Amino acid sequence: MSLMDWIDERIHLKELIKGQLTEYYVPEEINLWYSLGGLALFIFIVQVLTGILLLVYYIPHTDFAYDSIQRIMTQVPYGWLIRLVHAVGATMMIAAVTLHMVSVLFMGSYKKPRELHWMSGFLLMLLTLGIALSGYLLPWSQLSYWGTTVATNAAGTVPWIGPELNRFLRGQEIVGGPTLSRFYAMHVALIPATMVLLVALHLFLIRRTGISDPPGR
Amino acid sequence: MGEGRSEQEILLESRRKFLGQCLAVLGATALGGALYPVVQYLRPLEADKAARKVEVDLGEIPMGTAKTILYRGLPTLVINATEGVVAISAVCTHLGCIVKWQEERKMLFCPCHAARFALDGRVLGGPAPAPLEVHPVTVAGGKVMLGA
Ligand code: HEM
Ligand code: FES
Repeated sequence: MSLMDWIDERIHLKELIKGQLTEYYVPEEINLWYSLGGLALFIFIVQVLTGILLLVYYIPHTDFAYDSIQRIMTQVPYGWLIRLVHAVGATMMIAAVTLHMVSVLFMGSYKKPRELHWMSGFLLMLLTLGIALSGYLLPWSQLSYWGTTVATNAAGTVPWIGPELNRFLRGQEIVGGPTLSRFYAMHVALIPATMVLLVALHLFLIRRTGISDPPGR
Repeated sequence: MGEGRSEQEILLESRRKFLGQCLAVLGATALGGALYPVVQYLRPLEADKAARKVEVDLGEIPMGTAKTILYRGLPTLVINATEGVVAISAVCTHLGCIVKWQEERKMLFCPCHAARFALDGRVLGGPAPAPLEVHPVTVAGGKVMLGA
């Protein structure tokens, strides 16, 4: 008896796989745009995997961050590959999420009963931008440093709470060690964990309502 | 099932199976290709297996004392003894603890199960089954050189 049969006999897994995967039917007229959410999820998984690998050599400290990245790029076998997949993947993920949102918008897939899908998706897009912004500071390069200075300055222009928000993000008056620490915590723990939960909700909602019919049907 | 099926159905099913197998082979190849760099990335760095050639300043080791350094990535004692400078592995041959140089007793002592070794690596007592490895050194210009 195969392992699969052993498992199936106990928890009836095959029936679930059949109903949810191999024999899950979708509208016939479905088009390429419908693949973008899945693409974004795939890139997210790649980011999590390469991100965990980067953690092996990355040192989140202002004295060591830059050199640890140089070491990944020049000394660690295939370090350049892991890092560039992560860096390029970040841009690709934003592209995928944005195009996904645009397609949902112009096909009208957000309409009743799928408003919750849109709201959870909107939060996921914000978090994607947030994780990319926080990751960008981690190499502690000139580009990272000044990019973050500008981005946190932008937060400082929010009416009323702006200056306080700016200080809260930076952990002090200017971008420095405390900023690196909080961006690091956001980048590798807070945001990805929140995203996993929201993706689970997003997928659950999609399965509950079924996928939308393309327009004109 | 079986008799009731048309030729068309049987053909479709065997094609489905064949395509599935092709997909499995492709998938396994892609997975292998992706896994190879990951394994290489995670392997301990050769460069960190460290210095095959080490230089120690004799000035850092007053007469009668010893200094623990890393030689080929392993703890090694450089001892400035009256008999001359000795470099000897500090990894106990019993269960691998790090042995210490005892200045007064002029021997190496393992804190784990009390194995004792002489300056030439010989076992003087305790559970150690084999002598410690002594590395040849050259002393020149106030420097001790290992593994030239
Ligand atoms: C659990 C998931 C993740 C972990 C553990 C992680 C970890 C890291 C680490 C350690 C770095 C610093 C190394 C480097 O700069 O190359 C980094 C950089 C970066 N990450 Fe992530 N990351 C994760 C997910 C993501 C996601 C989902 C995105 C984008 C949507 C992203 C975008 C970035 C960006 C833009 C950088 C800077 C790239 C660079 O300039 O090299 N990360 N990440
Ligand atoms: S490990 Fe040294 S005596 Fe046991």
